[in-house]
Amino acid sequence: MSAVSLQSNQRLSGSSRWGEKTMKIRARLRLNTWISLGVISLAIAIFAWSFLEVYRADRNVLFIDEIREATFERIALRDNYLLNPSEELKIKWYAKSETLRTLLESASERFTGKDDRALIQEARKNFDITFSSFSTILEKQRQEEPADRKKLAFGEEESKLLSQVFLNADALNNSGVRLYESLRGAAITARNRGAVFIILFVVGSVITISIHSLFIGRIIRKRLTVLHEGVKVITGGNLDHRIDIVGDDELADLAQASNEMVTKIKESHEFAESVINTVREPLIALDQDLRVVKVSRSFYDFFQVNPEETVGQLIYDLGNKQWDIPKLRELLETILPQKTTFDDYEVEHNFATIGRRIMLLNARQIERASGKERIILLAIEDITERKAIENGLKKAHEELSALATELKRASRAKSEFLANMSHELRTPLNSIIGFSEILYDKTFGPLNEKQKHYTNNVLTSGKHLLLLINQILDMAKVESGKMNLTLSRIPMKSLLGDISLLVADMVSQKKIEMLLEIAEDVPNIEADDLKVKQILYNLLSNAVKFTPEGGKIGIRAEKADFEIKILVWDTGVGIELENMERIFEGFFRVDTPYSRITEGTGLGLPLSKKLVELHGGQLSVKSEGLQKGTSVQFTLPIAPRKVV
Amino acid sequence: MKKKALVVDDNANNLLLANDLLEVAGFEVFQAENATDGIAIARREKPDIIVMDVRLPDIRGTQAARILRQNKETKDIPIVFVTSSVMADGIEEIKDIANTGFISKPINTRTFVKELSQFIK
Repeated sequence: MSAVSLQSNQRLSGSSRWGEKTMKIRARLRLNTWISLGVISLAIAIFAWSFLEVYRADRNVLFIDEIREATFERIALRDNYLLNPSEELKIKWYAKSETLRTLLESASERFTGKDDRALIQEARKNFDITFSSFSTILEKQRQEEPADRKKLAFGEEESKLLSQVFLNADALNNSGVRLYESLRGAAITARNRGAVFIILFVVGSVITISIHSLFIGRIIRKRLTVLHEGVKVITGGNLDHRIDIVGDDELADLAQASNEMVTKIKESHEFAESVINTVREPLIALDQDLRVVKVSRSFYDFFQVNPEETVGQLIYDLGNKQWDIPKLRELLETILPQKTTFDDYEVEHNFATIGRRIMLLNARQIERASGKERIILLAIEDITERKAIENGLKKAHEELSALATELKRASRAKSEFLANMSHELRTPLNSIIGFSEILYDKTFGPLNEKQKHYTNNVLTSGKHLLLLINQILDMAKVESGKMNLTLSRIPMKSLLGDISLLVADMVSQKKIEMLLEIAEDVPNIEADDLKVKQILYNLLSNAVKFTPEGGKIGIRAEKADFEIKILVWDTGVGIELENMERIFEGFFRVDTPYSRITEGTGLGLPLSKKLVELHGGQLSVKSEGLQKGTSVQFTLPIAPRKVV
Repeated sequence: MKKKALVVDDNANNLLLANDLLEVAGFEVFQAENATDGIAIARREKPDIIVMDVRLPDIRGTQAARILRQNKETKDIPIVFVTSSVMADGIEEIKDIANTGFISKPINTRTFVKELSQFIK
């Protein structure tokens, strides 16, 4: 532990030692390998050398054997000849002598040892003497004796030579034997020496390599211990700790790398922490036993708790067991073990400190790569206010939809009321109009003038009432959106013609002139046939009604962009400027001298305006003032825009 | 022999009006104030035409028409509905009943019988 510092600044004080040169462990191991390899190669070389030495010694012994054999054979040839001389033996003896001479010559080249050389020298001397002596004997015999003589005759000189031959031949033989003995000894010595060398070397090598290995092991072990202790302190949680190590070998590098790694880990730790503390949502990290590992600063702020009574506590025990929430238990103990993530888990709880809160919990379960521990991250979003707003909205929405339902119901009731009213009003009208018509038509007998006049009054009033009912119903239908258009392609030009014919009677009765100005390019339009007729009829009958005898009315129709423009004009009573606004109010009727004879409801113009607008067109009225005529202009789109 | 007409209407005045118009035109007229009576008379008298109000006190006139159509003796009698309703559903209701017509109230006394006669074969 002495090499392990507990404070990072100690590392600085020891940093000078980082400069010290120590042999790299890999270099050491490599050196060890080289030494082993060198020793082994040397051993092989020595073994090979010893082997060669032994081989050469054996070869020398064999060579000397050959010389000895040649010497024996030559002596045998000589003795045979002396017993039984013949030309053949003589030739053989010469040949053997030549062989022996060659062998001895090569022997003198071959052996370099001092003793060996002396022996060879002596052998050669003896050979020379035997050769010269015996060849002299052989030459003499050839001159003196006929070739066929079987018996050898020796003179004194010859006997002397012969004895010299015998003597020297033995000496030669002896030299060979001695040389043989000497070389055999050398060969054995060589063998023994080789064996000793090899054994000594192997033992030496093993000892050297072992010592070196032990040395390396000791160094590595020592440094590893330092490294190990340091790493243990760091993994124990002390990220401020740094491993202090001397030298610049691989373990020193490793220690430095570990230190850098720890710095990086600390940095990312700090980064994560600052992220956690920046997030406004309270965050809480639990270990697998549901004890608090860490919480964000916002957690303390939000739940008004201190770090001392939070970290290390069981989550349920937080804030005087305020956190013992059944739904939280369910999330942590039932749901999370099956699902690693869980979003938007709503928990409502009444906290003693901060009151009733509705929280949205997002949970993440993080399996730690190291070990089997799990970390549970819990993000807590306070949605109390949002919920309140949502609830308010929901309530408002419910109220609105209730209102809408009520409105629909009321609207339906209104429609039903209208339908009923229409029915109930028409039923008596049917009798009023029907019976007065029968009376007027004198179906059951004649009436006097007064009776006829009154009957007609009843009939006219009944019809007027019917028109009123119809127009009120139409107005109500348009206003409640119940008026549906049945669209079809309308041939506008012929429709305008038909309508003018419809009012032609009225026009001629009143002696009014009617002008039709229908442009050639007036197109057909997509509209509700009956409604368009109704509009035109209303406007034209108004024009007739409010125009005195001798006046003029007219229709002008033309195409304008995507619509048609129709103007219904008259030279009648006109409208006072102050009344311009009121004419669309309904039941407004210009008080004129003709009003008694005109039959109107005051609903024709406003209803026409509504029907035009229902088609997506516009209707406007112009008048220069009283007695200055009126012109009503309206537009209808050629193809209707979507009108809701 | 006089043609027979059955008028079904719960309003006594309207019943009388139709009755008079038809009698003047030479019909033998039978009257009923509700659908049940109307169906009974129709089966008994087998009129040439039935003039029927849509809103009746017991069942709707259209329903009565369907009942008449199911009976062999009355299934071919033309039925003309006379209604005060201006709502389109009145017309929709009788669209699928064969041999029926539609006249809206108030009736035109001058053309009423002529309109009815168009339905009599």
